[in-house]
Amino acid sequence: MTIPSTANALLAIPRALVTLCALAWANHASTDGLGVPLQTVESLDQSIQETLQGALESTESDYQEASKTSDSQRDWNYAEPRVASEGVEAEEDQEESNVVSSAIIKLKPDIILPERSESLQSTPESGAVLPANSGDPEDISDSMKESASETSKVTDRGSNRGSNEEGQSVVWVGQARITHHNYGGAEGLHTVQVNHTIYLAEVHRFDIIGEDERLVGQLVSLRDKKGGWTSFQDGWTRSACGCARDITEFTGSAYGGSDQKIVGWIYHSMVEDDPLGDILPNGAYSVKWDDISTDSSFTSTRTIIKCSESFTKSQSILEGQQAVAGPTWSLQSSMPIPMLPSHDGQPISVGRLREAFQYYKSDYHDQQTRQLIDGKMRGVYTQKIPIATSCDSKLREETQEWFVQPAIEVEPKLAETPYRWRPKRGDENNTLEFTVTVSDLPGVEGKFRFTLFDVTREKGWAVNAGDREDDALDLRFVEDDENFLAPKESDDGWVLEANRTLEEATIRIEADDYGAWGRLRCEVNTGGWWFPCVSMAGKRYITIPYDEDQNKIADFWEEQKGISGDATADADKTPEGRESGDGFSNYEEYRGFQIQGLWRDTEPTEKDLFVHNASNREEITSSVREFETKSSLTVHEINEDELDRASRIVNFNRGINQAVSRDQKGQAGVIVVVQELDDICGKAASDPSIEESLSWSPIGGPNVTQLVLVDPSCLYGTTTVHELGHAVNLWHPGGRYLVGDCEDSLPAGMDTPYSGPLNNYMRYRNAEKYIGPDNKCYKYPKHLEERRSAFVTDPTGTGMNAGPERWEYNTLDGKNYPYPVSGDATCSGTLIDKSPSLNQDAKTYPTGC
Amino acid sequence: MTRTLIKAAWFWCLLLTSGFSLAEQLRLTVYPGQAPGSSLVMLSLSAGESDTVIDPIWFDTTRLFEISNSSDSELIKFVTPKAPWTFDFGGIKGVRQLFAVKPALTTGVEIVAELTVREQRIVSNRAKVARLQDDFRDSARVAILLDDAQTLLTIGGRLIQTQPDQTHGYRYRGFALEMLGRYPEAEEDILKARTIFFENNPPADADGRMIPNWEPPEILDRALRRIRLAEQGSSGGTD
Ligand SMILES: [Zn+2]
Repeated sequence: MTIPSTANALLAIPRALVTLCALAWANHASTDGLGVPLQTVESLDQSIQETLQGALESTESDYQEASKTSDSQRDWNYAEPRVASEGVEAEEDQEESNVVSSAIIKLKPDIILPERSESLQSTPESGAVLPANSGDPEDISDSMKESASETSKVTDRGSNRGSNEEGQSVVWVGQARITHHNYGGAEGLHTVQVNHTIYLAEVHRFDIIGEDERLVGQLVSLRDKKGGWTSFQDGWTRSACGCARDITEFTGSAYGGSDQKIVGWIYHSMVEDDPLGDILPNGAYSVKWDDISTDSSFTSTRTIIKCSESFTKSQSILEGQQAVAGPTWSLQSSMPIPMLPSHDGQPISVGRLREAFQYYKSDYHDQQTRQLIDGKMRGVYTQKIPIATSCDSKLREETQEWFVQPAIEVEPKLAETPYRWRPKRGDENNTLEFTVTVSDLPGVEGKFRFTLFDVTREKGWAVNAGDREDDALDLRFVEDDENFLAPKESDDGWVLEANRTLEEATIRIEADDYGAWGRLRCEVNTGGWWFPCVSMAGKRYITIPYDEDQNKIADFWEEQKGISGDATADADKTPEGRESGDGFSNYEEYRGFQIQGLWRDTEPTEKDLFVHNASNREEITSSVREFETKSSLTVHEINEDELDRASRIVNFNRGINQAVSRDQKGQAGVIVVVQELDDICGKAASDPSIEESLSWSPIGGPNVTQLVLVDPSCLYGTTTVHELGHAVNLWHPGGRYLVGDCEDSLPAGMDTPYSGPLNNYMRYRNAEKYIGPDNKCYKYPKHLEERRSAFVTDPTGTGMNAGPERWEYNTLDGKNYPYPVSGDATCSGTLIDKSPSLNQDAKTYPTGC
Repeated sequence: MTRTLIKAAWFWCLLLTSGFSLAEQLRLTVYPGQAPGSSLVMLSLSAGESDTVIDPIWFDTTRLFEISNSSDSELIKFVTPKAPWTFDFGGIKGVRQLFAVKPALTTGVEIVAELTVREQRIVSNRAKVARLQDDFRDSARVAILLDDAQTLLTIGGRLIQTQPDQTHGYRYRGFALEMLGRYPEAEEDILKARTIFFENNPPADADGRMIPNWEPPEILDRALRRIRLAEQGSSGGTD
């Protein structure tokens, strides 16, 4: 089939989309004069509002008639309507397990329809609000797959197609409203209204063959493309019995859409003397809802007042109203054979169809055989349904209204965020740009709408930078395009709407935070319907940055850093120590830090320690570098405003994805202060409150030891490095203090802090005396001391501390002295590969200390 | 806030030659001291880890100190008591100059320095004058830095009288006596301070458990070693 040349000419005319839809539909459906006549094109080229209005007015009589029919019913049957639907579902399941790949039918992904429309009388555009579920990370590939599996049934017979040659699919789009009135057992009225967006794709066309291979007609199968629904309730009822005689109030709303299973069909008769005319008049159609997502909770409030106590609860939308699960138009029918999933897709004979096809009449459904009116589905009917229990309600009344018309689907493509892009705050060179084209066909225009949603609102712009009260949205549209209105802020993002129709739109997005994350979707309105853009991955949105696992860390960064998955993980391994982690989650290391005024991210596998050189001395900077080199920790010297002054917490702007490792407390940076310490050179001081309670300063890590104090006269040596060692939970090599022995000195000796390798930063040096194995005091051989230059991994003593017990000649005074002086280190807490900790609050005594 | 700009002629006698690499940092440290004594300001100009070359030319230019909230700025005088000296702390190289500021700066004022190197303006950190609770410490620190033995002797003597159970009186007097070359007296004071230290700071907690980060009186130990070495030197003998 091809579009007639007159139709091609119309393509370029603005506002032609409705016309285009109708033309294509006319062309698509017309065979032997049995489709929609060309006049329909003109009638469609009016406002949708008029059309809808007309549709509803024209069905007024249907409503009355249906009501009358319902009123006349006396014999209520409650459970029957569920039977047929269960049968269909079972067979669908069977089909899905039997997939044969084929792609003869060009399949299109989902489209989004106007939704939450309060009234069917409104135009689709004016009533169009984004489907409540469209923000869900919902992958539509499933629905595509389902459709694809059906193509396996398609034969080589050319007419068995759901799309035309140009590759444009016909979809049936519209709205339906179901209103339930539940009357109280005693008095009152509870109203539930469900507004559906209808979305049906033409999946198959089955040829119906009469005698002599004559093509009698075609049966078009329709399949849900995931429309959506919204619902609300209000009113009150007074029950007839029990405590519940008291009043129940109903409020609340619900929405859903992902689980709907809508099927349907349309019959196009193609001969004047259709042998099926008595059961399938031309344009006969049936649309049937299997269910409305029963797992979608109707978040409603049901308050029973005046009882002993009132309560509220959340109820399923189906609770207490199971008679009708969803809209069903036209007589409840069995599936015509060709539409059964088990059907092989071959043409079917009139005789076989007649034999298998029959309408089931159900008391609680549409009593009419529905036919297309001007090529559209529209109608209204009301039915009354008795309630099994007498207490809550004695009667329910249900009204269904619908208006659905064919349209040609456009499928704008939304490219993914470039893989290597990551957010950078306010960097104009890092602006993201997306260009979207309405259709592959030239000249097709639409109104674009771009929505940034689920956008992060991290405080500041890095974990330790920016205004900590600022929780503004971290992504925004760049406002410099006259084709668009100013972006409108929503709770979780921005909406950017075009102020004219365009064939192609380009938008730009900037980040205001290094951890910015969000989703972007776009829609294009053609012919009054919003069609969603579809990503390369078949989703209705893309993530910014590119983030398949949606953990808010750009995938390329995770790949680069060799991590994946849990953004809250804090599992830095290098260097080894008491435990893994440094108080910063993977996400925080990705979001990064301001370090002396410059932003940078950190390695999620390497432990980072933050140090502030409060006295601004070069000696401290030098010692911090020495400490970094020798400890293998990654140490960052930061400015005063790069940690929280009160708590000393570095990641003070943490929000989402906090490190779980330390109960989300982050890392307290170490502050190095040069100040008068009187007699000692340095001190690793803990939080003053801890120190006060213990009357001494415990160590444990930067979260326990938060201040390193260095006397101004000790800046040149290794004091600062030694104290920084304490700040990360390193201990002196031995725990035996021999105060008072050997006169006033603090002598060295076995198990004392003088023990172990001589070059250990954590060791004491230069005693005056030492206590030998004979328990006597000896002069300390200072000439054998070494400069402290390493954090050690081996406790074995070196130099004068090494070896078996012996007597050695001392060159200083020519006397014999006992060796080793202090022996091996006995405190395991001195070892750099065992004890360092950036990630604990606890204080423990390592062995031997 | 009133601000006073004080020009101080500041001549560096430099050992390094020609050119300064970029990424210099000008750091300012204040030792508040106490009136009637002086405050000390230490300016430290450092550069990156390597290629540090210093051009004496810009040390001939006039440096600018800016002092906030100073009411008697006219009277404030900057004197350089020592020649500037160079340093190299693990690759961080630079020069330092000490300025004696008289009268001592008022508590709470802020001071910042600025200099121009090759037409590039370098501003120091802004340091606020804050004094310790025990005012003698501020005076003593300045006295130590200025080798002012007399002031230190006075402070030490007064503290020994008022706080005999504390180490600082003996430590300061010991330092002063060391400066004056009175080594035996100096050693006696330092040893006394050491004894008091161990009495006041046992290395175990109330339960007798080791305090993990207890540190020995290294400052006193160093002084003792220094004094004994000097004593040996002056007496010419060995221990
Ligand atoms: Zn220590």
